[in-house]
This record gives sequence, structure tokens and C-alpha cells, in this order.
Amino acid sequence: MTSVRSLYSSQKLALRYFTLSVALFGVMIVFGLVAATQYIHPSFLFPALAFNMVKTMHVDVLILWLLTAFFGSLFWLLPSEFKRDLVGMRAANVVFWLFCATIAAVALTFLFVQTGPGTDKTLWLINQGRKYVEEPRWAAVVVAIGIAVFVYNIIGTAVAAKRVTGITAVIILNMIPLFGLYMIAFPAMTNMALDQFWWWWLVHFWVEATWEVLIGAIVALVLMRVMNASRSVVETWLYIEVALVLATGVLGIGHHYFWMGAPKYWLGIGGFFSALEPLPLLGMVIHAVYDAGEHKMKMTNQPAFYWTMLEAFGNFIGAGVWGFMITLPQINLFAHGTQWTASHGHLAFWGAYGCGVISVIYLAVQEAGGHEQIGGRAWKWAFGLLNTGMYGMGGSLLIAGMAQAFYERAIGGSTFNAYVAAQQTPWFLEGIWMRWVFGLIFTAGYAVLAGNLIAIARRSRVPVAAGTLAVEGAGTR
Amino acid sequence: MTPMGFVADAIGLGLFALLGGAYGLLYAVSELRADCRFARLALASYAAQSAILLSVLAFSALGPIWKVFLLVSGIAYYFIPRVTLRYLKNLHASGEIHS
Repeated sequence: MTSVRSLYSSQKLALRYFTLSVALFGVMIVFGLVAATQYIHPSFLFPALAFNMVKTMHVDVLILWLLTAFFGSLFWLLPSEFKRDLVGMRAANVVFWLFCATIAAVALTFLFVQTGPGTDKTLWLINQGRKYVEEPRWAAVVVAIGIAVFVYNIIGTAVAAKRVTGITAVIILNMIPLFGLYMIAFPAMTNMALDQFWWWWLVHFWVEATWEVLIGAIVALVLMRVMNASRSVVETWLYIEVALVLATGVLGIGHHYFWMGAPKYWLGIGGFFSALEPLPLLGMVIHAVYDAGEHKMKMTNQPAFYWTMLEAFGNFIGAGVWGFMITLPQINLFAHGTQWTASHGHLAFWGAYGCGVISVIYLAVQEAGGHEQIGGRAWKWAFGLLNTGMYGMGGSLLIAGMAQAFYERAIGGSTFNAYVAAQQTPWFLEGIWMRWVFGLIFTAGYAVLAGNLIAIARRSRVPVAAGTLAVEGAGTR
Repeated sequence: MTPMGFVADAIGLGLFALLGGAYGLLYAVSELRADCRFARLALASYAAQSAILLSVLAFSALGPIWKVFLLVSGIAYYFIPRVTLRYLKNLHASGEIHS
């Protein structure tokens, strides 16, 4: 075995994206902790950090750490699929630094300017005011350009390489809605129902369609590397998963249309299709168990393997079980917009995406450092603490949310008095306290995770030079 | 739907999906390990899931269409692990042949 490892330029960029992603993951946790503290002590850091901006930072950085990790994952994994470096890397590098500058500028605007009058100037320079895509319009333009360059990096490479595998075909097709749906971040409609209708296309279809497809393709590539899984098997299963997820997820958008002024038929459509969503997720659990058994748990990268496996289970628990509790309209009437929904959101994002991208980051640090095996105890501590923290937070928010739905909505009839009364019940207060405690555990897990990744990266066994690292062992069976 | 009924329905639906997942997981493990203890646990999970389903069907204020939907879902849960596992075995067998 050669003692000199090599990285494609896209893989060097991937490492930068992973670094940015892990840093943003930490920023998201900090703002989550501040928000959790403000639920207990509402005046904490007020007025310097108002709750609305803390929450905005928490949910927007959630999107960013996952999105940058997706970019990094594809920049890392795709050279082995195309058997060459990705095209347009100079532009991609510019986009990376542009992203960093934009994220910093938007964060400073959110923290120090926060809001403005209801004018176009505010939309362009301060805040667009739509959850998850609050960034001012100039920043949304930068993001759109960045995604367009990313699409070019991938499709242009496929054209240049004259090579498209099953997995890359799925990724390429997925680039079209990934870019197209982001265009919905721009209009500012004055009719709230219309605005919400289209805004959900961006949020729901990014999260429950294009991102699901993307993470499915990324996990397929990871399985081929970590377990040397057969390409034909992985690709066939990817097609099935994508078909099933889209079949249930596309019309599942209806569960967001229940109470925002959309026609009544969405109650039936949304309830039916979103209630079907756990079924393909159950199939993924079976697949994960089968893969682990088939390969007799032999793998070269324990953390990547376990995080990948947890992705299947976590997706089923967070999106499947937690989603199923509140997706029928009769129940959603009481549960939507409470901490119950926050509980579902935390567990679903963690299971469906968080675990998957952590898996790829472990794979990248292994391959970049030339480690034949990755193991040890630190990753197990990180794994245990992060998941104890996350599932503890999910459980705590579930209890708080059930109290809200019961006392405020079902008994109190959603009046303001009922809202206040529900927040003073012991169930709610203890749930919110426990969420804070589990948030601290999650933070400790993050610290161990970040420390472990840095330690592995620093323990690089061999120097990096020019060559063909990416094509080794990439599921060629 | 009464306040307590709504909470009971939500918990019932969550348990229904959770036990369905437990059944699928245990069934897959029992098949891969050829271990009848896991098979028994899998069946117990499915039985518990069915019991939850029956109680939701009997006591919930959900409309008849939703109850039929849940009943069909409950039946589907029984077959999904079996069909998925059989398909995966065939897929892996053909994958080995082609590789």
C-alpha cells in the first residue's frame, strides 16, 4: 500500500465544508440552549438576545449545518463515482468563502439589527420573515447562486466524465428540484394562505423529498465504502426507497395544509398519505438489520457504520412514530404548533439527517487520514451522549407538548388565558426543565464528537499528496 | 372527541407505529439469527400492536374511514417485514451472482 494519500480538489473542499458544518452544528446547539434557558427564565439575555431571534438562529443554522454537510458529502464521495475530480472547483471554492461571509453577515444582522419596518428595504437587507428562510433577500440570492454552482459541479462532471451510475443519476435528477424549489424563498405574497401554501413547497419538499433522496444516495455510497456492499444491491434498494418515500411524502405535504386556509380536501389527502409515511421507513429498518447481519457487523469504520444504522432507526422513530401520533387531522387540530411538534421536529431531523451526515464526516476523516480502522471509546461516548440528549429532549418536549395540547387546546379552547395557564402546569414546566437538562447532555456529546473528529484528523497516518484516494474500494463488487 | 380521548388516541397511534417497528426489527433479527426466541418476541410485539389497534378501533372517536385505514395498516405491518426480507435475500443473492 502506498504511503502517500491523495485528495482531489473537491475532497479538499469537502473537508472545509465538513469543518464549517461541525462548527455550525455547535452554533445551532448554543442557540438551542439559550432558547431552552429562556423558556425557563424568559428574561435570560433579554433584550440583547430576544427569543424570536434566538429561535430563528437555532432553526436557520439547523438547515445550514445539514446543507453544508450535504455539499461536503457529495464533494467527498462523488469523485469515486465519476472516477475524476469534479468540474468548476474554482467557482465552488469561491462559493464556499461566499457562504462563510454571508452566514456571518446574516447572523450579525439577525443579532444586532433583528427587524425593520415593513418595506422592501427590510426584505432585501434585514429579514424576509418566513420561518427557515428568514435570511434577507440579498443572502438568498447568494444561496441560490451557490446552489446553482453546486448543480453545475455535479451535472457538469457527469457530462465531462461521460459516466452516470445509478446513484449519480438519482443525485442529478434530484438537483433540479433542489434548486427549483429554493426559488420559492423569494416571493413576498401579501395573502398569508397563498404565501404559506407555496412556502410549504420549499420546506416540505426540501425536507421530505429532495433531502430524503439526497441522504438516501449519500447513505448508499457510505454503505458501499464502509461495508463493501454490492453496488447492484445498494442501487436497487435506493430506487425502491426513493419511490416509496416520494409516493407517500409528496402528497403528505397535505398535513401542513390543515389549518392555513387551504381547501378542506387536504384534510383527507394529507392525513392519508402522511399516515402512510412510516411504512417505507419500516422497510429501511429491516434493510439496516439485514445489512448488519449479512456483513456480520464487520466494518472498517465503526462510528460511520453505527451512525448509518441509527439513521434508519432514528428516521423511523422521529418521523414515523412521532409523526404518526400527530398526523391525523383530528389529533393535529390540538397538537400542531405545540412543543409536541417541536419534539417531532427534533427527533425527525436528527434521525433522518443528523445521523447520516455525521456518518459521512467520520468516513471522510478516516479516508483523509489514511486510517485503516476507526474505533476507540471517544466516538462511543459521543454516540451515547448525543443520543441520550436528543431522545431525552424529544421525550421531555413530548410531555410538555401534550400538556399544552390538552390544557390549552382541548380543554381551554385555544384562548390566550388557556395558553398562559397551560404553560404553568407542572407537566409543561417539568418537561421544559428536563429538555434543558438533556440539552446539556447533548452539548456534552457534541463536545466529545468534535474533539474526537479533530483528534482523528490530527492522527493522520500518512501525508496527503496527489493521487487517487477516492476511487479505492468504492463498491466495485 | 373529548380531551382525554384525544390524548389516548394520540398515544395509541404512537404505540401502534412503535410496536410495528419493534415487530419488524425483531422479526428481521430472528430470521437472520435463526433464533426462535426473537421470533416469539416479534410475534408478541405484533400481538401488542394488534391489541392497541383493536382498542383504538373500539374506543376512539376517529371516523369509520380512518378506522378502516388503520385496520389495513395493521395488516400491512404484518407483511412488510416478511416481504422486505424475502426481497432483500433475493436481491443480495442476485447481486452476488452478478458481482
